[in-house]
Amino acid sequence: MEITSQAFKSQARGALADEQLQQALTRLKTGFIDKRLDAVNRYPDFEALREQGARIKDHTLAHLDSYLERFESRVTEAGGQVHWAPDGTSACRTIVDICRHAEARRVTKSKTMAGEEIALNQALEAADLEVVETDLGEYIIQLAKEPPSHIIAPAVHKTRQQISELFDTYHHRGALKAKLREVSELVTEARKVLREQFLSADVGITGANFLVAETGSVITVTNEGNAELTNTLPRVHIVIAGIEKVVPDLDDADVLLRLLARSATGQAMSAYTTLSSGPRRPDDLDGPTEFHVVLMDNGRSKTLGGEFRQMLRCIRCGACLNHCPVYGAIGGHAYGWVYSGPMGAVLTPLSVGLDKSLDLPNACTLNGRCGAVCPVKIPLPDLLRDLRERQYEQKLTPSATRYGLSAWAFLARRPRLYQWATGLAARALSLVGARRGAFRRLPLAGGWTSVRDFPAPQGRTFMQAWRRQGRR
Amino acid sequence: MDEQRSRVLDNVRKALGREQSLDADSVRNAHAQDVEQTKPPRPLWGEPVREHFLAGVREAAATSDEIAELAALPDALARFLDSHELARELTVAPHPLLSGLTWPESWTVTRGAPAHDALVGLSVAYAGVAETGTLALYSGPQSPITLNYLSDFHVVLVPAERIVPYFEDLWQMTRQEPSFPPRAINLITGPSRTADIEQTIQLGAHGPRKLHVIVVG
Amino acid sequence: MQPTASTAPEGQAPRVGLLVTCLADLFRPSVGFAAVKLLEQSGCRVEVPELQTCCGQPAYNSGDAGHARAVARQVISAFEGYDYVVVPSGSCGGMVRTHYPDLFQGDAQWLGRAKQVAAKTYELTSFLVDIMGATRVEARYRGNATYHDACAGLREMGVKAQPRRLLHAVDGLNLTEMDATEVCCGFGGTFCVKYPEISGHMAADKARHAHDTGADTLLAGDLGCLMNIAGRMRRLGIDMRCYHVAEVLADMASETAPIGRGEAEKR
Repeated sequence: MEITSQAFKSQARGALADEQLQQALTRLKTGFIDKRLDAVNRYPDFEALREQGARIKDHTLAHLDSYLERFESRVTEAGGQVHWAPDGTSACRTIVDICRHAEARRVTKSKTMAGEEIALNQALEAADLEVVETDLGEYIIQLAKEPPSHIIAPAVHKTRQQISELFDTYHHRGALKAKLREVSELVTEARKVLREQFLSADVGITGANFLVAETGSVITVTNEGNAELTNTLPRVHIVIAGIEKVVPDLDDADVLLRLLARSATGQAMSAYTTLSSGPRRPDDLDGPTEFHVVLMDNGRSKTLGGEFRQMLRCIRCGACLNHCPVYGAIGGHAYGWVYSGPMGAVLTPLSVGLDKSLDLPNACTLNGRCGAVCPVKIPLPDLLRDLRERQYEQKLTPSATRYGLSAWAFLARRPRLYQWATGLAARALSLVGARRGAFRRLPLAGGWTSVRDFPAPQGRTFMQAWRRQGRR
Repeated sequence: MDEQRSRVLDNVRKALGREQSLDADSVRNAHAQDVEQTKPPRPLWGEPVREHFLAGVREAAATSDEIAELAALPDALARFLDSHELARELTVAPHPLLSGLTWPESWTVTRGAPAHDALVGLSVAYAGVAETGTLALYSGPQSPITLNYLSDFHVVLVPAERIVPYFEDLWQMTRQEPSFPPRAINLITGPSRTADIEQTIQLGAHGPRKLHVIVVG
Repeated sequence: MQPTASTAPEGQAPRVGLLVTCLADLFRPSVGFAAVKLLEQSGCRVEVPELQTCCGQPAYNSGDAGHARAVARQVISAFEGYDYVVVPSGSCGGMVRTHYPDLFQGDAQWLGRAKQVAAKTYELTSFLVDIMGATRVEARYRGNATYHDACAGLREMGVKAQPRRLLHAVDGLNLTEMDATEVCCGFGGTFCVKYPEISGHMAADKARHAHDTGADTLLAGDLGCLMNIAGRMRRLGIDMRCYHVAEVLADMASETAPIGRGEAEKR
């Protein structure tokens, strides 16, 4: 997909004015937020669980090489194949090669953000493969030809009306005349349509929520059952996963699984959590004959070696998106790439470059709700501020801001001068504004007064008044 | 491919400031001691494990039944089929536990992997996990995975003695198996569902629409 | 919140350095005076170090750590001699308490001093309740109020129950909780002017939630939030009186016009 993170401001403005989107976003607030809180409250000590999750992740990252090698050995022992992809291009090429080698025509996919990250569908389609997304949300946006707007609910921005219209166009050739249908009808229809695709696919591609080094297992966490139909029915199963997905063993996976579903949807366990370990065994009754895992770097090793390493703890639960008031106001597309919300505001600059995503770390009030709900305690506000520091150091911050900060600092370090200047300003502004109490318009304060009145100062500064009282 | 492998691993090692990888086992053993000390509490409950398991099953929108012995299974199944106005037709996993069972004459019972349009499937669980009311179904000659997902109505038999409290207990049991790990471990908690349309939960997305758990023993 | 042992000699009133905050200094000194009154009432000796201007947060949050450090050094020098540093703002208080140590990581000379000042810095209402043990205030305010939880105060300084505790002791004041009380109001320092439409949207949500309680008064512990919400309310035609919680607790609301209101609107 085309990356449009540079156009954040105009995209955000468009999102704020989009009534259907705003309607859809209100559902997030009660849906995900309340359910998560309920699940968290029911758990004996969720805070301790978070700390353990962070600990496990940090340990794994500190020994990522060892655990990746162990994972690879186990997969190979089980008859699977591990492929290493330094970047997205090589990952796509590897996957296309596997499909070609298998003489595949149709590919089913269950949800993979790593796949979205590298525009995998585009590469598969360019190789004349028919790709069918099977996660209902991903299927909907595939029909709509849009990128996901949320990492676990990709079609959260779509209304029932919009989905009815899409299904009418693609399943009924418009015969239903865009009639608004019930959710149950739409799901039943998708089930029927996609069941045929599942059964006729040559290759199934999934992502991985976790890769277990102990057993060479790939863990997928879903609710629909599409991951299993994708990884069991076709003769070839391909997994695309970032290298940071590895965990040491099954018991560590338990901790992270307890965190994941609760943080994402408020469930104690998703309906389907599956561990796939290799191709079918000689006496299995079903399963793929080929099992491939593509371990993708695509910038992760660089992040591992830098100050943003903690971002690699991310287990892609979406809690930070759900709790971010900025995401809640503008939705995911405004961020311009496949990752949005707080985690997207960190990942996008790291992936596409700070200079192409200047707004993302700045369009944040640093209110801290994201960091408070992250199941693995990623200090998201701190990372966002660090990105702002990188921008400042690289002189990417607009010069007006830099001059403004220098001027402010000049004054702030000179208390007497500062107090004189602020005394003047307070006096002047209050003379003009005292009667009404606030300004509708104020020169140089357009950013404020375009949406709010600007409260007038009381007239004297505190420091002036304090000194007048003869106090220390 | 080997070149790509070296490139990725070299970059990882460089990022971690080391030339050689340490052995995963020794690394993990040191880590195991740490995490043991900081182990967070797990959910607790008052009732027996079996009851808590069944409560979890029901909370996940599955239905449940209990039978004292295997011979009562056809009756339990009949009850289930009747409640959904279904014919006496099912695909059954070729599990040793079911091999001695005599099905009523009028029933159409197919053993093995299901046909694509199979309506009712009967599997036998490897275990049940009480913590969350989760079924653990393992692939193998007695357990086709497709039965768990292609069936519209999925019935799972759980021997009572195979219900364990926590996932850690499940892994402890699993590690003893000669063919550890199986090709697929399906941890199933309730029927299939989605909330992808307007955040409205709808049961029966791609997997079974209904899940019925029968505890025996 | 771990109370730090006071450096005040046994039996003596603690010496508090008041960090007024740049917003209170410039826009609303009444907040500063209210803070002084409350601190003195609780038994402290209050001084206002002259050499203070700002805590440095505008630079810090803009990625300009260099200038932030320069201003922080000034704050540290001015305040390190006091038993406590008290701030009528969770945001500025959080800057000192949580972020000053971050700013001076690796600085042998300043890290220790920064940590020392950070450890004794408190937001006003939590200081009164948690450290000075205040349970009552001598104040009266006839009205229905709702309280907005400013983000930094809540998440960095642990301010939640304390202002409510004191507000319940205000004679005549009826406190109602709004929905989404812990959701950001959209101020966020420079965020509100860099992304005015998003900020305005968030502020409108907050304004509506406050208004929906039926309360006639909005209170909070941070002037940035209050100016933002009050300004948005005016623009939306929502008629609520906005005060800093200190002004109500210090019984000074009646002599001060609400935020963003003219002199004529004093009660």
